[in-house]
Amino acid sequence: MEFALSEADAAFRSDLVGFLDRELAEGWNRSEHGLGSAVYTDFSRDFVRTLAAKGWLTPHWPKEYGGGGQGAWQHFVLGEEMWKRGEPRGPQYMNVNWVGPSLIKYGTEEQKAALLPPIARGEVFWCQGFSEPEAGTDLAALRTRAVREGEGYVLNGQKIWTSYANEADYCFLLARTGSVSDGRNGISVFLLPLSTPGVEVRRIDGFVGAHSFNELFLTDVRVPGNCLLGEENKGWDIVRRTLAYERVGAPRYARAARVLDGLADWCRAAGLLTDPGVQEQFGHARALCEAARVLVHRVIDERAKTKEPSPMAYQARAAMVQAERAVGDLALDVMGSEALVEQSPGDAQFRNSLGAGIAAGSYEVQLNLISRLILKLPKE
Amino acid sequence: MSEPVAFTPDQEALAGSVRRYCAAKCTEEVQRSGPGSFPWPFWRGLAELGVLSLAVPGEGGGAGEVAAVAMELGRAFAPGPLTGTVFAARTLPPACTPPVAAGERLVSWGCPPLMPWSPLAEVFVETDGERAWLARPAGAVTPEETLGNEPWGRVALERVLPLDGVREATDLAHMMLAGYLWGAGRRVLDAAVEHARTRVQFGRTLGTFQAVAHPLVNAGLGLEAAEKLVKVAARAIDHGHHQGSALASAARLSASRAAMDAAFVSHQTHGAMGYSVEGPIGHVAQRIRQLSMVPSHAHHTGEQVLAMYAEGGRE
Repeated sequence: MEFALSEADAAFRSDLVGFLDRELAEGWNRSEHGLGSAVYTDFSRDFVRTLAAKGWLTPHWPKEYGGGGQGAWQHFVLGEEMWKRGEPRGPQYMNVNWVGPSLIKYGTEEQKAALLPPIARGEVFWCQGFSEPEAGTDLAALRTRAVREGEGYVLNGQKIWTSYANEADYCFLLARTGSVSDGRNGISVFLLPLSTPGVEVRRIDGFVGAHSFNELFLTDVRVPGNCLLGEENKGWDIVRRTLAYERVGAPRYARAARVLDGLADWCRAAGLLTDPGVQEQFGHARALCEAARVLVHRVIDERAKTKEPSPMAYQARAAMVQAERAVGDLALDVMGSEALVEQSPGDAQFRNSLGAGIAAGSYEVQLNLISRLILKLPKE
Repeated sequence: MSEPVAFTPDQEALAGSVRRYCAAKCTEEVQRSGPGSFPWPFWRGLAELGVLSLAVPGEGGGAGEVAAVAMELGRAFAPGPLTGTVFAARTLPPACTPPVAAGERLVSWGCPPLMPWSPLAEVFVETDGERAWLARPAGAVTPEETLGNEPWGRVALERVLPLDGVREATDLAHMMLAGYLWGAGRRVLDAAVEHARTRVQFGRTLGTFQAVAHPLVNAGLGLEAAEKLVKVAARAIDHGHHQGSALASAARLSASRAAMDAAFVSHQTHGAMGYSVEGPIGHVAQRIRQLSMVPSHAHHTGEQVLAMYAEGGRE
């Protein structure tokens, strides 16, 4: 495993940091406006076009699809610096992290030609239609149906907790093409334009932003056959790969570490940083952030060398959850009542840390996977 | 202590009347009322039940009454400056208490500049934990929204009159906070247990997974212990036991921790549902975090508990 970036990747980071410091207005922070808010998504649209123009939206994609042909490390550096700053790319981090790569791996030439360039130019939003009311952690229990009709499909069902569906142009949608008893072997991926008749989006307010989630209702939604990604009933393989990217696609520790720095400044100004108890708590939280960083780096290192996701990603994600939670606890402990004021680092970190063990796969499931795949404990 | 750890029949009856009142009047709308929509009719109803005057000297309300009522209010997720009202009712000069006890004026109680409920309050009580003063704003209140959806604000205060009975009032305030936090914690844990009992994933109810069940059980243990401690503390205070104050502090800290654990576990059990503003637990968890915070004027709380052990005078 490499502990330092190559010269080229380090230069990339330094250019990127300079650009971001200039480009992101003082105090830019998504929590001010809320995930999914119009202010946030409008900002993201503009910002991502600027990134694309510099070749920094999809540097890790192959050149033929509008990428820069760079390696996994540049992709990772990009994610770290963006997440640290509250992810100004908005939903487009999903496009570049896994929607695009899934299309590249499983799409037909026609699909790639139609769908990849707009992503690389920063022109479209995608959302992820996975969870359903009865299929959360147990994603393979999903019930949204896709029934063949002529050359196409008719979709019926309901998705929930779909971030950005209100703004998105497309949904990377999972639907059942086989029977329910087929479980994960009866699921297919559909690339659904959200402008298709029969799609209805309803807003769910969340406590990380007024418009953080949506429900997606599909009623007799007719799509052509070329909306199917990969083979029918083979969607689970695509999802497994997709989720492997998603586990480390949001480097939460990077933002947590930045919040920690801000808290240290706050404590220093308040004269609290000389307290041994406070110092110990800071040390502990910082160590968890560092541990998460190193574990994520190992995953990226692996990816850069073998190009295939491995169970190491589950460990990395579990470590990120621990880091995010430790910083959340610390923020409230050291700031006292000031942490309760809305938009304070304490308030924001508390909200983030509660979601850390839920979003993108529950903490408990990561632990199960680690116990089985890394510790090799028996399943039954 | 050789006496049972329980409220008296009178205290239970009082709690019952608050429970019934809240079941009827503490609606979703009342519970979720935030800055700008204070539920005055609900608050005045509490006053009519005697809840806001429990701590007024001579009204016959002791720590047991405050705690018994607080547990119901927490469980019902009742809004309002409950702790400040208890403290003020105990310490204000007799001429000042009637509008507070009648639910006509709200109390802001704390350590400036960040004062809870200050945008709506007409009575300001400043405290540093050992002393307290009746105060008045020395300027405008700058409103601040808070994690727990309570209207707080920044304001400079001018001290008008030193207040007596700070220690007794602080004990009662601890009992109110401890009871409320216990009740709110119980509520989010009950919701999580119900969810674990009914939600099916992987062909089984969630509660059959030990990874889900054990944290729920642990949180329940914490709440059980906190409940007993609240009752022991209330009794000790009402009987003039020399460790009453220390037990009240312990009850507050214990209930704070237990409620926080319950909130966290409930979130982890509910998944994304807990993250929804309209969902059953998110708003309660946020207020639990707010109330479990030990503000600067309450920094002696832990010391008091420690001192009790240093004395070695446990029974």
